[in-house]
Amino acid sequence: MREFQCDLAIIGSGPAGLACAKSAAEHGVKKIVILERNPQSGGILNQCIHNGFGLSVYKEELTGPEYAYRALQLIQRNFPFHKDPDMVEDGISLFTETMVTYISKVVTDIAKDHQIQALSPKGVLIIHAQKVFLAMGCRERTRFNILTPGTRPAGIFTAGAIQKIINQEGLMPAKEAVIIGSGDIGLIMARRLTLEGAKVKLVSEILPYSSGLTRNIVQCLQDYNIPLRYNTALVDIIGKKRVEAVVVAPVDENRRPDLSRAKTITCDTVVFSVGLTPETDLTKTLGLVIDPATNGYQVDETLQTSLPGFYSGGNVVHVHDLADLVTMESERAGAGLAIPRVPRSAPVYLTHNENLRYIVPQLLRYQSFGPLVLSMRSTRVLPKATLTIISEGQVILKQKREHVTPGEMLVVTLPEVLAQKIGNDLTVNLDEETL
Amino acid sequence: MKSSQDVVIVGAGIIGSSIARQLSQYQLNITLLDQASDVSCGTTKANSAIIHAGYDAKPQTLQAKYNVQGSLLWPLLAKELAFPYRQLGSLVLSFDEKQDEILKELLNRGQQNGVSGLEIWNQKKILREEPALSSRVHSALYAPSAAIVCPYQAAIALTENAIHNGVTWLPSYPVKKISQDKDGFVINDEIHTRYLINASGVNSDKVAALIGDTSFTISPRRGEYLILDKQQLVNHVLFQTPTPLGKGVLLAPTVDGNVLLGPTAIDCKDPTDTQVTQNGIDLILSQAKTILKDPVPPVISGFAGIRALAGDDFIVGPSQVHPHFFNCAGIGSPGLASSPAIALAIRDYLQEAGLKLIEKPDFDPCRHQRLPIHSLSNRNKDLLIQENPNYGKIVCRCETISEQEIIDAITAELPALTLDGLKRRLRVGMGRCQGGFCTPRLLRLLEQYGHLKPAQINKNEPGSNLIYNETKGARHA
Amino acid sequence: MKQELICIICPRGCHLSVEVKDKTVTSVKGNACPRGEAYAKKELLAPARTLTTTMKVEGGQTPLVSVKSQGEIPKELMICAVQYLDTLTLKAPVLVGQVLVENLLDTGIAVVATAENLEQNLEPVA
Repeated sequence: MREFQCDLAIIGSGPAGLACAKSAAEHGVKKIVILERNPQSGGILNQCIHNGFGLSVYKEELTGPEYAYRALQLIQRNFPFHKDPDMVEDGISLFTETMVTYISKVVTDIAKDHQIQALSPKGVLIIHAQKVFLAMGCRERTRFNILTPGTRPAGIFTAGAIQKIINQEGLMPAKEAVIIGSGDIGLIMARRLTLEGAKVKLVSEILPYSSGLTRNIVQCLQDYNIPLRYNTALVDIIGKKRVEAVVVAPVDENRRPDLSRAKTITCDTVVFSVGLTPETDLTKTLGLVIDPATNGYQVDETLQTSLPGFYSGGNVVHVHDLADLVTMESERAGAGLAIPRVPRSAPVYLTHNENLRYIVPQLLRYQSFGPLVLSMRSTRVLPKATLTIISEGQVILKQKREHVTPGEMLVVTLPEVLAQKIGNDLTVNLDEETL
Repeated sequence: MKSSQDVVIVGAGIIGSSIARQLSQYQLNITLLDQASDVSCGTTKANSAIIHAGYDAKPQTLQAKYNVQGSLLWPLLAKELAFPYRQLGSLVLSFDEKQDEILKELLNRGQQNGVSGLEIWNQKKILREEPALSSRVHSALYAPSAAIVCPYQAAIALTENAIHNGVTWLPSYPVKKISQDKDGFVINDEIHTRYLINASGVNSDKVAALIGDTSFTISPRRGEYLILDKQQLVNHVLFQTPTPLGKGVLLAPTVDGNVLLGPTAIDCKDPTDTQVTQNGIDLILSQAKTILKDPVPPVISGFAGIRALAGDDFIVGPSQVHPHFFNCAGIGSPGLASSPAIALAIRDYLQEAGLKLIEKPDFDPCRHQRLPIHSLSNRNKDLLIQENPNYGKIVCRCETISEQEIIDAITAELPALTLDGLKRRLRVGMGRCQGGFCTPRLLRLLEQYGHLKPAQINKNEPGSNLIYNETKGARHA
Repeated sequence: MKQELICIICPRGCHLSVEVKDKTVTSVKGNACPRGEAYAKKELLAPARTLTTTMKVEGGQTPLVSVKSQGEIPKELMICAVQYLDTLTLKAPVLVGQVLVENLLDTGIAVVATAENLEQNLEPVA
């Protein structure tokens, strides 16, 4: 059994974990340990072989593996870096094939550290950390999460699983596919399946809009004449051994399917791209507050969770549409956990109107310190909208936004001069502008 | 022709595997065969997973007799064969005075059947023991001997132990023809046996008909279920008060910590019709809603199983057509609870029919199973990983299953050579991600250690392949 | 003639309104940056895309390596290009940025590796 001390333990080496490590090191955190369950760092980026990454962070368009490679290079070039070391020294130590199984908080006077237990081919690893950054990312929602009836034959995959099977294992699991849900991974996989020789017969979306990026609808579906049908639900899966067909039906405004207009589509593969949900299960026993709107950790402006010393960023806080946004958020966390701040007399809980589904951070705990970044999602499509930020009755910021959709995250940065104006409350409203 | 057998058991569900294990302690040549590629692929893989206490069955029936006897045999089986068994006790819930009366009838019936420890609980006691229940609950019948097991884990354990004690396992072997000679039966013109046991579930009427026994017909009835993520929601197996329409939807913890809801009960013509319907989902959720105080937690999976019914009671015993052909048919609920008792009954029938039972001196009643890595102490984890580093490589993160545990299952004497086979033995792919993260790795491990080509890797039976070919080169070949 | 387009240069997805006369673009509106105008012209006259796919690797730690075209290729060549790349087999090691095909289907565009795939039994950098 190996047992190490460190200043910061990071769970997960996807874009969130790597960005937090780099940023924390830049802000003077000495001993940083990253725990990664795969043989290489990068997380899900490694299977996202498509481009579209890096425009904000690296100012150039990269693929997922390149983005992961750059993030690791930045760490290797600028800080002492140790991969699977025999002991933990100053700098950043990356432990691969290391699966965290349990985290406990220890808050006695003698041991002020948090304890992380992990398993690897070298045995049990125990890490005592002053601070913990949770960067476990998210998992895909599945067929029964959305209560899809039908049989359970072979040929039913989540988009991420089929992505990994095709892109990393080099195996072809489909001839004729129907994709359920028009999230980004679903759109990307529609193109990927087509390029590898399968026929994608339909992308079916229950909502009246896509939750994926518009550019992906153009370059993944329209380029290959793949039909996308909105307001359409999957109502049955047919087939005993392998999928033989799916039945889809149009839905009314309450998302109830009209079975009289149901249509059977023969196919051997159903790909579910029906949303992602933060992977918070590891900390279940710690009782961290989960925001029911994001299903992720509730965090403050330093990305600290409800448990002191535990920070988080990326898709385990809220599901982002771009890896760049994950990187930027987690860099803020690296700074947030390294720089001491002056607490407010009482935390400010952010509120918003009905056109917004959530805002991250959910609360402000500290007095103003640099610019304040707010990430949020709308509840519906707004062609033209005004975003207003109000504190104690005073409008701090008013911005016009176009083409607001729930599929694209809104990010607002309040410069320090404006952030200083925040008093004892903070409200963000998104209002539709009528033409 | 393969060597002559003393006993052939057709069907490796919980009944067939219980009989195989029971008979494996005697000096006999025994073959257990199944049309499927693995054990427990029929009714056994998809049912309520409950060892009923025995108050429900009508007195004087085989169901009542075997249920009460069988439920007492499970604790020792679980201990010897190292599979999980938890005696939680069950509650039949009543929500009004009319139902209170039915509970009294059940109490009465249970006492007649010889079920011990039955009690009627009042609302206060129920809510103290089951705080998640709706306060509309009125009273309940408590049965302390009710328990939960995992039926396919039990069938796998029974078969593994039977194989360990010399039973021959013959998978993927459908019985198409049975001819008779002076000395017994010949199956498919290949296997000769002196005694034949028909434990073939939904196919048992067809197998019986092969020797001209048409005394019963199987009516398949589908039951649909939903599974919730791991959580401490309820502490007992919770039934609704039975109505003339059926037992209603139950709510029970599983041995793995999930919560099971169901079943529905739909008569169906096709014995392989295991679809989950929208109506079924709606019915299960609406009934669960009436039992629980809070909204029903999120569903992670669903499945359907077929119960093979043949009239009102089990059929267990010699066929009228041939005294050495034994039927175990129409084993609906409480078949799981009854299975150890049915195995004993079949042993006695065989003896009566002239089969000599001589005990094996070297019979080993125990299955020597390595504990799952996640359940070990840190010290023992380290020892195991030192011995083989693959025990430290976690493949299934939802259930914390290591690569070596998967390799062990693939290369076992009763091997798991399909994704469902791995799932049933290790729970890989059964957690909240439902295989999204680990399926690609499982495919490679099955390829490497099961010596299968990617296109030969099935979810379960042939034709349920996940992969067609390699992406590169194959389509140009 | 007026045509609506969605710019796909970056994930922002600007909605463009484009005027076309005699096979030339006369005006582009709705773009947040100059790249949008360039995109509109190209998209209507000679649409092109960056290709991302995988190639087979022999002797590597994994069976494949992810690759991309180092620039855009005509849109209609995407499927042909994948089919062509599928016929090639690389030898490990393959490094990030390594040129694997110099001139993809005579487009003048190279194909480069976007990940590394080192020889089996060698430790990867990370």
